[in-house]
Amino acid sequence: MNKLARLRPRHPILSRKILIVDDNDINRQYLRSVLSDEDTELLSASSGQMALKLLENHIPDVILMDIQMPEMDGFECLNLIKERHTDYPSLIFAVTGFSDDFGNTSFKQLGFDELFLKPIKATIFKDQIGELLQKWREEKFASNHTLKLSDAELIEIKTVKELKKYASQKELLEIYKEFETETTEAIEQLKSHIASNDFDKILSILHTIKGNSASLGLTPIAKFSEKAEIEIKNHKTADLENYLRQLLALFTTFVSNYGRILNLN
Amino acid sequence: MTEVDYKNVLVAEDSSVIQNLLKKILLFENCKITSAKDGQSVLDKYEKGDYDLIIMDFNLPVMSGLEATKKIRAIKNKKGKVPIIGISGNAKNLPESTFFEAGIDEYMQKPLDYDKLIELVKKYTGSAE
Repeated sequence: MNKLARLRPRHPILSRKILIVDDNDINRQYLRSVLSDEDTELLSASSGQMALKLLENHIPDVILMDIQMPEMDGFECLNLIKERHTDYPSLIFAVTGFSDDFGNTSFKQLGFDELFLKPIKATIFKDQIGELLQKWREEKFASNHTLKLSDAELIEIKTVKELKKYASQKELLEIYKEFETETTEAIEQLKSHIASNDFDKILSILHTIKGNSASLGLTPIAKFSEKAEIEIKNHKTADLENYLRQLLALFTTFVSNYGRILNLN
Repeated sequence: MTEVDYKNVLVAEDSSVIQNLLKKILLFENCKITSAKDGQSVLDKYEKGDYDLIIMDFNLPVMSGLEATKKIRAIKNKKGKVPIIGISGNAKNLPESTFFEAGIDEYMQKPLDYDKLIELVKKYTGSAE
């Protein structure tokens, strides 16, 4: 790799899953080659129908939607996605060669989060997507809405790719299953230590959960355990019950989704 | 398949998640893993067995990994010189030098970089190509 390629991008590349919807093979291939890296998992659909089918099993971070497609165009596909899922947790961008596709209506009024005009400029495009995704995630975390996490937020793409070099699909599932078992027990212990205000034991358990979840790319759980660890070390212990509830919520989300997420790719 | 020359690695780590993860990853490198879940059992198992490498978490119950490392280094024969890779989430925020002073050869912060770990295991088990 040359020196230039190693320079840090303007925005850190976040773990992300991107769905490319375009009926043209060359366009799909081009976008794949522009967006491909270790933090990104790419899905492609050659039609609106195929995109909807994929979305039954994936929660991507970004959907890149071509507008002019036979049978089902980008507008119709967008409407069907929004109809099926309220509060949809992905950014949906229109990608089109024809600016007059939208007539006098703005892409925002139609429900897209951004409009990209072809030809796509590789260098800027990747950066722009990173920027929009980062901004959107920050807003999502700042708002107090119940958090709907995308697949790539829940389990880091890069970690799974790395583990897959060494573990078979079956072994990979076993590793995460082990985490489920051990953490279920740990949370039970946390409950009783919180009841008896045993802070040393609480800290030790949080530390183990943090290490385990970080090793498996479960960033939301790792970050939360770390936050709780720091608060307790700073003697902010009034709200332990609340921490436990939040940790449990994140863990439950993980438990009900990891099989689906890992079985796929 | 021809006979495989396994390397014996002792993994001291109290979490079964990391234990199993390392077992799976290191199997590829022809390592046979023995698990120990606390500092005292690391010493007991190390004394009885014949190990090429120890991977040691510092945050262990009964006796800390740091203490166990010091005890191994205090052995006054060949056994006291086994390579030790220390791993830790560093809960107590100790400076890295503390780990090296105890006698480890390498230190890795959690979350582990698996490629780097394998590189180190290869380096110390002499299975580098």
